Amino acid sequence: MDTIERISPTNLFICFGSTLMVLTVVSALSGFLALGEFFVSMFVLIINMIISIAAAWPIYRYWFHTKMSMDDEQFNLEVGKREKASGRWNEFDEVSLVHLGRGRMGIRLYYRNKDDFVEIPASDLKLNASDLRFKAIDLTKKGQPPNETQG
Amino acid sequence: MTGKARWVADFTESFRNRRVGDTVFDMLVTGKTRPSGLLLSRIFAFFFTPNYKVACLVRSVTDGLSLDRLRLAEILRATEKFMKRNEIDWSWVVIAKEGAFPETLKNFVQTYRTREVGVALVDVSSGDMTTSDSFIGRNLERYAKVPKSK
Repeated sequence: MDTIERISPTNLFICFGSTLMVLTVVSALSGFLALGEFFVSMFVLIINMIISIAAAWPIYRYWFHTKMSMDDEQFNLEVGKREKASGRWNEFDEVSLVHLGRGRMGIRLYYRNKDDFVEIPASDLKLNASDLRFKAIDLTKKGQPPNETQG
Repeated sequence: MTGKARWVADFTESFRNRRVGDTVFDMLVTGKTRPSGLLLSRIFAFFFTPNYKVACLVRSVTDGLSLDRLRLAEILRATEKFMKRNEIDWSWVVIAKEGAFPETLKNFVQTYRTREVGVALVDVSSGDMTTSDSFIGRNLERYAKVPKSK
């Protein structure tokens, strides 16, 4: 199985920025409780930045880091530690190209026998979503009876 | 894709060779009329833009495929069922062909009355477009500029 795993600098930066923002707000509130005014010193800000840099990576790994393994038979997809999906290509009969927001593209695989789908965020894997769509169409077609069309 | 068009909706999902009933559409895109965007445009859209789920279904007619009034009626019935199943409020059905469509077909489209479905017959060789008489059908002429094939 080929494994595709890419680090997304945008998502990593979102994790860093969010952590820094939360720490700064907590520091300001602590300052207000202790001194009676909202105040964040440069020293506290630097400490917060160091903590944010250290915390961004594990948070990114938990929420965003996308990893996909695939071959001609099946695929496994992990979005952080919170979402896992796997399946055989022939379990799906329709493939669509989707815009996931913030300029991200992906493909959606619709199950043949149930009203559900799996979404593969191609942009997060630095894959060309259109190429992945056509590849997925070919792979899902292999398991279909003749004359059945999909796309 | 070539040609020019105006903003109609935020189409977020696209299918190729999607089967709807007995018909395989070359392209089927779905989306919503409410655009996404950053904070201010999102707030503006929330208050001022209706959030209709829409679809555009495109089928090209090749020489091997016969399209008469009954076949087109079947396609439109299948589209209406597809809309109901997927809770789609508005649809545009575009049938494209190199060459003129028969007058009987044009008359059928011009008298098609379903308000939620806009139908257009597009002759890509001359750029002529015949649309249904519904509001969204008539608007197709404004939305889409048909490129003439060379």
